[in-house]
Order: sequence, then structure tokens, then C-alpha cells
Amino acid sequence: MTNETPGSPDFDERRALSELLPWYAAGTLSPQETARVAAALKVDPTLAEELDIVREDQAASIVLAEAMAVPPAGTIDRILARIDAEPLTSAHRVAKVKAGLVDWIVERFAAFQPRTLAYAGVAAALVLVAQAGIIASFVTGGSSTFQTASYGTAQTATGFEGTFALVGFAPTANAQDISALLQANGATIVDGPRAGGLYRVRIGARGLSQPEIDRILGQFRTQTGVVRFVGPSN
Amino acid sequence: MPSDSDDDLISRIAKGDRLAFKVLFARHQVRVFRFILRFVRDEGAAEDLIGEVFLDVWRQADRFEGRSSVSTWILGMARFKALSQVRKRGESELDEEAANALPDEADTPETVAQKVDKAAAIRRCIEALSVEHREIVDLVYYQEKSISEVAEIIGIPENTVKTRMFYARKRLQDLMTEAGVDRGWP
Repeated sequence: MTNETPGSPDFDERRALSELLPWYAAGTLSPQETARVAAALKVDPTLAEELDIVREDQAASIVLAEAMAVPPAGTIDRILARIDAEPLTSAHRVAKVKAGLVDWIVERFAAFQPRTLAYAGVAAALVLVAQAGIIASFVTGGSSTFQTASYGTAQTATGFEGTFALVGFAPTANAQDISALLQANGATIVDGPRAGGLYRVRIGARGLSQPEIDRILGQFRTQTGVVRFVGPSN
Repeated sequence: MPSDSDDDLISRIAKGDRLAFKVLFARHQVRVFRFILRFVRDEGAAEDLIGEVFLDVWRQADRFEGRSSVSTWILGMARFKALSQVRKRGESELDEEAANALPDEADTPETVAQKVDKAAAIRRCIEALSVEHREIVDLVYYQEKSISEVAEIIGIPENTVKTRMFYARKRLQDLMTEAGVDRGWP
């Protein structure tokens, strides 16, 4: 370590830079610290030599670690067997009850006659709730209202990739019909309702061929009792 | 379609999703196992401990607050369990193992240099570091943890992390010099 090179940082700064080198080599410094070290490396050749040594140590350390044993096969099965053998945690119990409630709500609403339910948006929203697993307040207290995924949330905006369609459901459609149609076509409501009561529906993986898209949209169009509009979506 | 970030997996595990648990385990098992193995030096014990660690992940997933990364959280639990195990076994056994890893004093620097190339010498000297120094070297280079993450896993201030790593490197260099390899630092 030297601090005698003309123009090099003073001793404390040199020591601080030296301490940062391992993380610089590993690429785990903040952008600011990375820039600080990079700037010093340009003017201090001794620091660059020290970095070479750090990289040698890094390579040796990784080789050593990679030569170590890995967990025996079946470790995960043994852990899962222990999980099965112990009682559910309170969080897992609550999650299970919530999942059961979603199923119960969907069944109840599906049994209603169209006149009672009146709005297809309610049915579609219920399907959205059931699919996303988003439900609030039934078990944990608070107000007894639904919390649905609204348009543009992180989950709906960034959590899905694929090929999408815009679908408007018929006023007479109930949740059971909508669920059955979506299930039959491997489709999922990802957000909505948008203007005009349209929902964005994922109909398949990204890059679906046009004939396949046309086929699926055709399937939707045939269900006139459930669907009032269907069209492509970006 | 659920995403598969570690944070998302933890959220799903908190709801009892076994598939998410399997994915998280598959993603982290090797690094966590090797981290534990460095402390306990026994594969059977390491397997038992990784089981304990991931059982805690299953049980405590709903309490994960996301202040650190999931892997940092898991490594912190792994370290605590591994050190508890080592303390039960007794420090004397550990010291004996460390002593066994030191370079053979019967070898002159020249013979050591003849026996091994430079990279192998570095590896041998890393193995001869103290448990404390090997741990931090492993966390920084193999586990690729930042200064703040190392501080959280070990439970020491960030400045101490930097100082400890600096002295681990110095000790490694001393061992290299003893082995007849002068790399010109410090």
C-alpha cells in the first residue's frame, strides 16, 4: 500500500479505497462508490495492482466454494415431510380460510339468477377477485368490502406477460359462466373494467400466432350469452 | 401468472404455497448449504441445518418485512444455526481443524512453490484463514453480498465489515508470503 505517488489520494482516502476493492471486484458497490473507486484506479497504479490481487483472491475463493459439496438429493422431500407433520401456522390457516371464502363467494354468486345479479361487471369482478386471490376484510376484520385489482396496479400492469384480448361480458352473464368460458380457453382476467366495461383478458403466451388468436377469439364470440364484445388488445 | 422474484415467492409461501417453497429452496439451497458447511464441516450436520433453516422460512415467511433481500435473511438464519451447532461441538475441535489446514512448516517456500501453482497456493491459504476471516471472504466473493448485507448477516457495523475484510486480505497475504509467494501488497 502506498500513498507516496504524486497526485494520489491521501493516506486515509487510499486506505478507504483499498477497503472497497473487494466489493468493487464483486460488483456489489453502490453506483457512487463504484465511480469513486473507478476514478481512483485511473490515477493510482498501485490501486490497480492491488485490484489484480483482489481479483486473484476472488477467483480462488469462488473455485474453493464451487468445489464444495451440494445438498444430498431428497433434502427438499425430507423438509416437506417435516412441514406436513407439524400444525399449520396461523398465517397459513388464515390463507387457507381466505381461499375457501373465495370459492364460497363465487359459488354463491354463481347460483344467483341474472335478474338478481343484474350487472355482468359484478360477476366479472368476482372472477377477477377469485383468480387473483385478492380479497380483504372477511377474515382479518375491517370494512366488509371487496378489494379488487384495479386497472394499472403493479400486479396487473407488470405481473403478466402474454397475448391479450379485450372482452365485454353480457349483462346476463353470471360468474360461473364467465369462469367456465375462461377456463375452457385457458384465459385469465388480468385487469379491468376499463372504459365501456371491458376487461383485459390473457388468452395465451406471448407471441401467439394470428390463427391461434383468431381461433380463441372465435370461441369467445360464439358464447353470445356470456360475451357481448371481444377484440384484440395490446 | 405470478412472478417469481424471491419476494413474491416469500409472499406465496406465507399463504402456504408449497410450489413457491420448492422454487425458493431450489434457488438457494446450494449457496446456503455451502455457507453452513464452512462452519460445521460435516455434510450430515449441514443437511440437518439447512432443513432447520428452510423450516423457519416456511414458518416465518409472513413475518419477512423485506428490509433486506430474501437471501440475506436466509443466510442470517443459517449463520445463527450453524454457529449454535459449532458452539455445542466445542471450540477445540474447530481450532484443531483450522490448525490442520495451515501450511506444512516442514515445507520450505521453494518446495511449496514447486508443489503448487499460485492459484492453488491462494486457495490453500484461504482455507488456512480463521473462521471469521473465511466467512467474510466467502460472503463477499462467493455469496456476492454488499457491505450492508454482510453487516446484517454477521451483525456488525458496516465499518467493521470493511475493516475485517481488509485484515482478512492482509492475513491471506501474510500466509502467501510464508508460502513463498510475494504478491507485492501491502
